Amino acid sequence: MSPGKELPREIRPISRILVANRGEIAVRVIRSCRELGIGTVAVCSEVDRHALHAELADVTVTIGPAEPGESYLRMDRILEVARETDADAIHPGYGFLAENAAFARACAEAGIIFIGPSAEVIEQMGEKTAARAIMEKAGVPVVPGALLPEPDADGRYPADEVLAVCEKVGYPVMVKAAFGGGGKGMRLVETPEEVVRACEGASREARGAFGNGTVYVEKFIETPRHVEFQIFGDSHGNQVHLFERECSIQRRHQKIIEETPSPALTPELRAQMGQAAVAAARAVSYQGAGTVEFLLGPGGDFYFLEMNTRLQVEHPVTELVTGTDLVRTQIRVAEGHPLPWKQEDLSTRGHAIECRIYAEDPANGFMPSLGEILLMNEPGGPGVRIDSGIRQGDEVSMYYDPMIAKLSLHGEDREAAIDRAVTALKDYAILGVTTNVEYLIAILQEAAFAEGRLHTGFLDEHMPDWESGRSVDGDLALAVAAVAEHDRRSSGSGSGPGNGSSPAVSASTPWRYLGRFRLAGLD
Amino acid sequence: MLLNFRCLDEMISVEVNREGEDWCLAIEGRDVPLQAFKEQGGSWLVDTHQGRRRLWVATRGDQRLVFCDGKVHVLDLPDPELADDDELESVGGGLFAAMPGKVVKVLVGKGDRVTSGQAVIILESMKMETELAAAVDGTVAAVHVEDGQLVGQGDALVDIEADPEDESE
Repeated sequence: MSPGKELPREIRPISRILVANRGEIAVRVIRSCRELGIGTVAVCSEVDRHALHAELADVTVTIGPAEPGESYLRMDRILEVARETDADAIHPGYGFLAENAAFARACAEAGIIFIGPSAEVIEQMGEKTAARAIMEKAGVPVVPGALLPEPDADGRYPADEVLAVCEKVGYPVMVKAAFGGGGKGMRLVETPEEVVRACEGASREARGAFGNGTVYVEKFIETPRHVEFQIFGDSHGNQVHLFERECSIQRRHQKIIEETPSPALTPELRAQMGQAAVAAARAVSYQGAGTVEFLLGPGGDFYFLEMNTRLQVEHPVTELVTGTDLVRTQIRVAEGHPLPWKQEDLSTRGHAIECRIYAEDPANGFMPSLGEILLMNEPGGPGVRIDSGIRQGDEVSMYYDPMIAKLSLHGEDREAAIDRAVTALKDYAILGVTTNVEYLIAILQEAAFAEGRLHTGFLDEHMPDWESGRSVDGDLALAVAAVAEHDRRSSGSGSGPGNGSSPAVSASTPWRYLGRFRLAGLD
Repeated sequence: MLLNFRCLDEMISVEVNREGEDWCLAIEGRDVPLQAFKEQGGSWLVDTHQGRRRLWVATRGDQRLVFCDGKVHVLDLPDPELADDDELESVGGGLFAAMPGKVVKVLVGKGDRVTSGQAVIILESMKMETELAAAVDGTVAAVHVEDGQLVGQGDALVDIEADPEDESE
């Protein structure tokens, strides 16, 4: 402690953290705790007793049956366990209770540090219209939109006023029901000529569907990208951003591949968006790790979408390019320490990509695939990071998110990171459940992906009817299956992987090749 | 050693012989020499024209699962001692759980007539519902599960006795 340095007034050292989550994120948090010399308490459901997170923690308490509502979402049980185990802080991870204002409030009332922003901020940002109003006031761009004037008794709109409103919003516009959803009462309008009729039609449809014909217009963003900024704040009034993540590769709003830097941002645009993200954080005096999501139009126009008041699934790519540890910083900030960086200290190096490995079948409607992981080989090497909560022999159960792992790659530039991702995926052997590994490789190998031409409709545009290319190496697979079966039977034990004859790799002198033969049945 | 794999309803016979690290395979009578080295952890190194490749193999019942270059190949290797058993025929119209899940609703009872394509049971896994349909026309011989029951992969759900083939057609 140097006497000249201003010491933070209120530091509450944390000695034990309860991790109110499961899977890879619980494992991730436990690792940072161990590095900081902080004790860990895991909570788990009955089916998770032998899950990795439950085995890694210093203390593990089973809090209920497998259904999340009876275990991982049980605030009362989790707080009870925290008290019983003398945990002075709770890390919620993402999902489950991470953005639950009532839980954050209950922690505060129990005198337990909730590692995240305040209950008030969680509440404000959770309510989308309130969040939009706060951001607009703070000067953060939001998707331009306006309510339309009332139609007359016959449902006819005053053309001049409607045209003036739409002109201000800017074409193309989307006419939307103010009290609806699900595509009803929605019209896409490209030119002023169609707009009055579209408003009248949307209003009629909205009245029929929702009992209220009020409509509004919003600027329609064509082929937008999803670009989000990592933000961080402390209790000393500091707020910074840690650059962007592009998450445009998504299916039904489920992100699949994320990367940073975004291939779409110029240094000027990055600075502009970063400033907006920090303004958003300042507007609510944000503390802890958060994310400001933007829609980015093809013309470089960007709009606030929402703020996520938690650690994001895809945080590893930010850690890789900025050289930071976001979970460690979350804990330090929660203790009352100031942020370890000022904005000008932060920079990025190279390019990082995250691929989410899911237990699902992309060739079969993305059906979840459940069962035991019979075999798992995690790739390795420089620039390869794996965040996983599942091991060989573990069960992928029906109760939880089917994400098996996050594979994050760091390379000197985007091309190197993509090459690294494809190579690592080709070594990511998972047998027993069907995964999206082959699908991920196909996305990474799309020409449009290599060129960085991404948008949120990318998968629909480029891979609408993707099918597995199982036949390509069917011949080789058959040959090795036969060889392995011979080995299995002659070793007598019928044993699983890892047993049997010793590897004799070095004895490979006479090179002989398996020719490329094709079997009709495999085509 | 003769192995009969089934790939997409087609049987492929593979004769395998080993001399040290050299393997002699005859696939449907065609000779294929192969060098393959077993590693720890269920993987094999194989030399091909494109260079050395690593493949992983796992066993699940009659299935052999092979991972190669990001793709998974599923090959059936029916146990010769069980093959040609009439038992396979008698459960031909039965329904099994393709994955672990929960029975939402059983739509038929014992003795009910069902037609091919008729929904028989609704299963839920990971919040997704799937309707399982009868594959044949016939009669429900047995119902093994009830509403709300949890089932494991491969569990028998409903047995359907297929109608005898109509000779008059």
